[in-house]
Amino acid sequence: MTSSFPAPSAGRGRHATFDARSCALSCAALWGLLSALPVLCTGMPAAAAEAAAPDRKADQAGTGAAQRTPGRKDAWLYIGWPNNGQVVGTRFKVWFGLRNFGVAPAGVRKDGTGHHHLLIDTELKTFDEPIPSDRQHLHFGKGQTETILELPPGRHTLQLVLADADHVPHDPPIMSKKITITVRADRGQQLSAQ
Amino acid sequence: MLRTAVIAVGALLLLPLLLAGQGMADRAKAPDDARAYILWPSNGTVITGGKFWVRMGLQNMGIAPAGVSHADTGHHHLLIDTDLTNPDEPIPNDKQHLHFGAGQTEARLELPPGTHTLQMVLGDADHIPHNPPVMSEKVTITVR
Repeated sequence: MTSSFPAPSAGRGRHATFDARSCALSCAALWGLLSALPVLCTGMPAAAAEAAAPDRKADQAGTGAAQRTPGRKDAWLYIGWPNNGQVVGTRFKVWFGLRNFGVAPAGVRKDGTGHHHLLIDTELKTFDEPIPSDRQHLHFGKGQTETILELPPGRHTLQLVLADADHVPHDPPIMSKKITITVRADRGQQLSAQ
Repeated sequence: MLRTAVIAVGALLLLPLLLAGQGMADRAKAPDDARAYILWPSNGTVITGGKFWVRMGLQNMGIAPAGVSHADTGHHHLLIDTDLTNPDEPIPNDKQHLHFGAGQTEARLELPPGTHTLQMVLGDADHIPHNPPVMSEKVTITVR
C-alpha cells in the first residue's frame, strides 16, 4: 500500500498520491485503536503488578527477618464470637473482629492490611517466619472474616493472628487474646454470630 | 474499492461500541451462598450518644481492598439513610455512602439524634456491586 501522507519532499505536484481511500482507512484504524486502548490497558496494569510481585517476594525471602510489614499500635484484633469461657457445640461459627486495620487476601501487598489466621490449641513460636499451614494453624487467605469450625468435645484454645501478604506476622504482631472454650457433643450447632 | 473502504470504516467505528457493551455486562460474579450482614447494631437498637462501631459480617466471600481484583472478594460500603439506586454503576462516595476501600470490617460512626437506616453493600475492585448484589438487610436504629 502506498504511503497515505505525501512525502515532505513531494512538492505540490504530487497531491495526486494523497489517496482519500487509504487516508480514510488509516484514520478509521487509528480511531478504532484509540477507542480499544482503554479496554486493552485495563488488562495490562494487573499483569505488570503481578510481574513485579514475584520480584519483591524473592527480595523478601532473601533478606528474611529484616523486612516485616509494619503493624499499627491502635489495631485491635479480637474474636468476636465465641467469647472466653463459652460452651459450644461441635460445629460453630467463629467471627473475626478487627478495628483500625484492613483485610486483604494473601499475596496482596497494601499498607494497613493483612489476612486472618486462627491458632487452635497452639501458640505462635516465631514471629518473623511465615505462619505454618496445618490443622492447628488455619489460614484465611481469601480475606474471609469468619469461619465455621468443627472441633471434638473438650477444652480448646483459640487465638487470631493477622499476617501480611507472605503469611508473616506484622511488626508489632497483631494478635487477639487467647480464649478458652468448651466443646460439648450435646450442644448442637451455633452458626450465627449474633 | 471505495465500498470496501466504507465498510471497513463502518466496522471500525462500531468496534468501541461492542467493547463498551462487554464492559457493562461484566459485573463481578458473586457466589450463590454469599451473604452480607450487619452484626451490630441490630434492628431496633437504641444508641445513646451517637457514636458507635458498626460491625460488618460477610459469609462465603472474602474482603479485598478497593482496586484489588480477586475472585469472590469485595470491600464493604455502608448506606446511611439511603438506598442503592443503580447496581450497575460504582457506588457514589459521600456522607450517605461510606466506602471501606482499605478492607475494614468495622467502622466508627457518629450520627445525629433520630431514626436512621443502615445497609451494607459489597463492591468489587471498582466499587461496583456484584452480580447479584451482595447486600445486607436494612437495619433501622434510633440515636438518642
